[in-house]
This record gives sequence, C-alpha cells and structure tokens, in this order.
Amino acid sequence: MGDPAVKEPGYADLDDAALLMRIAGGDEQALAALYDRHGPRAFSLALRILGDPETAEEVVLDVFWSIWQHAGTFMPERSRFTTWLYAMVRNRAIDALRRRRVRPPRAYEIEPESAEAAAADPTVEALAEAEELSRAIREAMAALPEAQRQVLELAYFRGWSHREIAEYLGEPLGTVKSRLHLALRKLHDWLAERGLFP
Amino acid sequence: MNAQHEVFEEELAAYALGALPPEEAAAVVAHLAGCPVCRETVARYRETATALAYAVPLRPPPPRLKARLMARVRRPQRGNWQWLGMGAALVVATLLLTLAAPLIFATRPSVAPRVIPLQGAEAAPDAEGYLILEDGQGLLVTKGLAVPPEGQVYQVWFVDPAERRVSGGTFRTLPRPYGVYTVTVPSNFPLYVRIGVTIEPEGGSPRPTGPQVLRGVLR
Ligand SMILES: [Zn+2]
Repeated sequence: MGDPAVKEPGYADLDDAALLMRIAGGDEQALAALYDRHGPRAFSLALRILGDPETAEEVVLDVFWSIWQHAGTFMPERSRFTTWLYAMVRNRAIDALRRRRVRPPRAYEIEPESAEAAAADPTVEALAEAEELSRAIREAMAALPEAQRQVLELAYFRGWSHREIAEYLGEPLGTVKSRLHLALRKLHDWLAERGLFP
Repeated sequence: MNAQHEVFEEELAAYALGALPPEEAAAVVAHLAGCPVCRETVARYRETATALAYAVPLRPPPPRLKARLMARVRRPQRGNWQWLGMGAALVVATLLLTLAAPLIFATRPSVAPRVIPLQGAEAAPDAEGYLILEDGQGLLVTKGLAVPPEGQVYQVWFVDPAERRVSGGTFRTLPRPYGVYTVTVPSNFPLYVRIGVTIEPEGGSPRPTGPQVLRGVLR
C-alpha cells in the first residue's frame, strides 16, 4: 500500500459544481477527479441493477462520457449533481437491462459493504456525507415493512411500473401504489429528520 | 397541503420513481404545470429516490474503466450524434438536407450546422434534445418528450445574460419517441446564453410560467 492513488492536487477540494465548470471548459483532470469521487458508487449502482460487471462498466463509461460532452448544460442551482448523476446511471442501466434482457440480480437484501471497497474511495470531504447518507438509507430501508421495501426495490432497481409490480406480486394496483408512496415518504422523513437533505 | 394534493401524492411518488406509464405520467406533468406545491413534493421524492443509490454496497470498479474514460476523452471528439438511433439520425439528415438545399442550389459554400445538446429538466428528466442551427434557421430535435396535456404546448425560450427571455415559438409533440420542430431563432442570436423549453398554455406565454422540460447552454 506504499503507492497511494495519484491525486490531482487541489481538485479533491473543489465541489461538484466547480468541477463541472472546469469540465465544461475541457479540463480532463477535473473529469478524473469527478470520476474518482462518484465513479465507484455509480458503478455499484449499475452493477446492482444489472448484476453484470461488464454491462455496468459500459453504462458508467457512457454516463461519464456524457458528462464530458454536456457538462455545460448542467445547472447546479436547479438540483444537486448527484441527483442527476444517479438518475442518469439508473436510467441507462435499466435501458440496458431491457435491451439486453440481462437477468437482474435476485437478491433483495442490502449486503454489507466490504472494507476493501470502502477503503478504495478517495479522501474527499464530501465522502463523509456520502457515508452518513449510505448508513442512514440502509437503516431506513431496514426499518421499512418488508412489503414496502419490496415494491420500492422493484420500482427503483428494476425500473418496473406500478402495474408490472402489481402483476408480479399478484397484488391490487391500489395496494402497490400506496405501498410505494408510504415507503418513499418514510425514507424521506427518515433522511430529513437526520438533516440529510439540503 | 389540501386534500386534493394528498390524494395525488401516491401518483407523485410513483412519478418520482419513474413507475408511471406514459399516459399517467402525462397527467402528473399537467398537474405539476400549475401546482408549485406538488412540484416541490416531486423534487423531494426525487432526492429521496436518489438516496437509494447510496443503499447499494460499494463495489470498486475495474481500474480499466477510468483508463478507458480518460483515453476516450483525450481522443479528438467526433460528432454529437451518439444517442441518436438510426431512425432519428436519418430524419435529421433528411431535414438538414432540406435546410441546406437552398444553399446548395445557390452554390454558396455550405456552413457546417451548429449542434447544441439539450438536457432533460425537472418536468422531463429523461428527455433529450438537440438544437440545430444553420444559416439563422433553427431545428429542434427531441427525444423522449411526452405529448403535452390537452390545452398545453411546449414553448422554446432564449435567455440573455440579464435573464431576459424571448420566445422561440411553440410546438406540440406527437406520441413518438422522436420529434423535429422548427424554432424561431432571434436575429441577435449570438447575444443569448441559454435555451430552455417549458410547458405553457396553448398559444404560448409572454414569459415562462410552467415547468421546464429541456435546457441547454448556447455559449
Ligand atoms: Zn398539486
């Protein structure tokens, strides 16, 4: 471990909006820094949806390539960059899932993070917040009734519509709709109580 | 929050998760156009849905992923056409030819069209688009933009550095994945810094009133 990952001096201190401005100006180092910061979670999300590391790699490559090309069109004042980033990763992963008919992973449970994976993250202040959010969302998910967690995961990680979920579970559409709503609202309240929303 | 919004909240939650079929999503968009309360709720639910990305166990990506990204970045950039499926690319090519035809017949040297990427905004995060500018004429190509609700249209806006907006005209999408529309480009176009598309009542508005569906940076 005597060879720490190469860090671009200064870039790790810039927030996402500042990095995006530099990326819009064609700064490759800024893109590398943004990737170091968010690439691991983007990859993990794509992998969770697809269950296939190779397709997940293509999805993440595609998303960061889009960021390189379109960084100037992102308006930081309108929403957080991570909201946009993970929505993009999720959409493209779900597209890939539908297109390639990749079998989605079966597991619903949230597995514990490996120490190795956590240590691979760059030392950025923003990561402390990500860690906290990660812990809080796992706790919130674990606190949801199983039936609510299940519909939420089918909607978010499989990209199914409420109708598809209802069909799959053999439940009335109204039940699925209200479970989705309750689950999302509980997560929201849980995170808001912990001050994890701006 | 009144009872009507309360009833609607289930729809908003499903909408924020992308779990509504297109026709129901369109009904939500119609409501959002006139309801800041529900727009706020959707924004909160979206942020919440995003937090689910943090529930996933971290798996380190293969190191070659970053290497591939940086290698691609260092290559000279090609066109901006990656996302366009073959069908839409053909439509665009045909329209560009149509636009360029007067130039060709006038045997003037053809100026390369300028292509400005547009990104989905809050009311249509999955939509994408391109503004194609050639010889003062504008074409808007959209992808994934839902049919606007009855009585509403999309309106194009050019924004100057003082945040003043001038309309680039209105259009209605058809139930197709792609759409191509002409845009009225202001004569002093180089002064404008951004472009946006919003949902507005039929006939258009003097200034934007509805939620944004597309946006892009001009310079
Ligand atoms: Zn409302």
